[in-house]
Amino acid sequence: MKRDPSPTTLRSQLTAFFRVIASIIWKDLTVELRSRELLTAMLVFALLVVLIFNFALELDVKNRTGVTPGILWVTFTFAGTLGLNRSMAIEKDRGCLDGLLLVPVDRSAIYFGKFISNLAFMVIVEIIILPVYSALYNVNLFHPGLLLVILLGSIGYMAIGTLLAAMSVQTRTRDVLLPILLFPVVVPVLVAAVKSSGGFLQGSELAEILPWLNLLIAYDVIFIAIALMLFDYIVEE
Amino acid sequence: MSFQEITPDTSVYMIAGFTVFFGMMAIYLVSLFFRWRILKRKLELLKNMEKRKNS
Amino acid sequence: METRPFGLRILDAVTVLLLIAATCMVFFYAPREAAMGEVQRLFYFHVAAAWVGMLGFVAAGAAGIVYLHTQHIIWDIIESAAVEISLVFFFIAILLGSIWARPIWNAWWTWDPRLTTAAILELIYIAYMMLRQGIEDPDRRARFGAVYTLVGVLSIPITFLSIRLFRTIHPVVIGTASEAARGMFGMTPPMKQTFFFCFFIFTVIFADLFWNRILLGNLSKKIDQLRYRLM
Repeated sequence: MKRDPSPTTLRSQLTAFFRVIASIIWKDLTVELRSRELLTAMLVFALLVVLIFNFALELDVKNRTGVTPGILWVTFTFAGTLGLNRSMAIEKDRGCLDGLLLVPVDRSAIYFGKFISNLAFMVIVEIIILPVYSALYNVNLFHPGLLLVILLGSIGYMAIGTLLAAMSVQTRTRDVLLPILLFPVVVPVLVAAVKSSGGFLQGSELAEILPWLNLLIAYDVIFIAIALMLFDYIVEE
Repeated sequence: MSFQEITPDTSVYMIAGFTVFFGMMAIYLVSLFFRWRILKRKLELLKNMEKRKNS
Repeated sequence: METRPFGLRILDAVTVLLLIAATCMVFFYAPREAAMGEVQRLFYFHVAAAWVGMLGFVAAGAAGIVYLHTQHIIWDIIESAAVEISLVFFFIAILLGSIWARPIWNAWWTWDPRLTTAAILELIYIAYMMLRQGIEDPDRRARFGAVYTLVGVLSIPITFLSIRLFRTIHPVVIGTASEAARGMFGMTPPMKQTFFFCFFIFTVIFADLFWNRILLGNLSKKIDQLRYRLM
């Protein structure tokens, strides 16, 4: 597949690279600002999950702090899957992906663009859910450590999620396939996120929480690298 | 466990286990066999189609 | 290659004979274990199947890398054959382990790191098969399969470590004898011999099934090519 003559200087290549990333993020955010369909769907879904947990689990004051990290992360996981599916489906259905592939820039720019915009949506939903959950269950969730864990966990989730969603949207089964592909490989993120969230909420010592944070950071780094290397193989035609 | 003088009779579980093993193996082999047959038939069909197309 | 090669027929026969030999060895040569009774005999097949299942997974990952490098479809056939057979072996291993655990630990399942990771591994196999079934185009199917295999292979060690960390910080209340009983019974020489022999023949069984399955994959590829030519 011959590419058009690409910019020769390193500087202009880098500029093109970042410009593609920025344009993807900008496109996703502005489209979402106008239609708000993705965020609304994710948010309403997340709220419903929190509501269901109220009936599904005994959330009296004693148990609450114990199960809160679990409930939060289940909610984020499912909302995140929803967001990934919709985001990639929009990309494919409107033919944006094909257009992006014509630009003579490294494919990883597309990956980064989608990764960051998916991450942004997930974080926006999380930022809204946290105060809602706090109010509904009278649990203080505004711990800086917790916010860090949520960010790190979301990064890991979206890093591998973007790659797998790009795959699943090109199959016959589409939406249904993403959780099946994603959940088994994202277990370390969930385990580490829940344990460290719980650690911060219960005021454990940093030394206890640190192994989990390290695990999260390691996973994030490893899987962003893996996704970068493999993304090319998924979007070539 | 270390103070047991009588070995427990767990034969039932053993039989169940080996049944599972041989059963699963058999099921897989049978599936391979049937898939082979189906593919062979498809190949024959396509070969006939090709012959008709070329002749 | 429409008919099965002669070498494979020999291997089929050898495999069946070896399996019979192993079964006899497990039932008649290996002694009855004092603490667990007859169910311990499952152990030989259980561990052998689990190990071979894991090796198949690693082989699939390697085949995936080679496919992405060379774009030669044969590596995709090898990879999907390896995953499929590993799926069967590992499922057998999980079932046998569960049946063994019931009388010994009084539970069909525990969430210790090895078992949990085994369940996740099996789910990755199944996800792989479902991914392949959802793609029509053989080239895309091969690429996506290779990518997912790699993602799976790289995630499993991290998953195992994370769950082990989970369990060491929070000691789990399983049956008290469990950790000790988990394969830690003293093995007499006949037991060890049976053990290694089973390990050997399960590898042979895997190789035999593998060869057969690759032939199936080749046949499927031929059909795809013929179908494409006739369009």
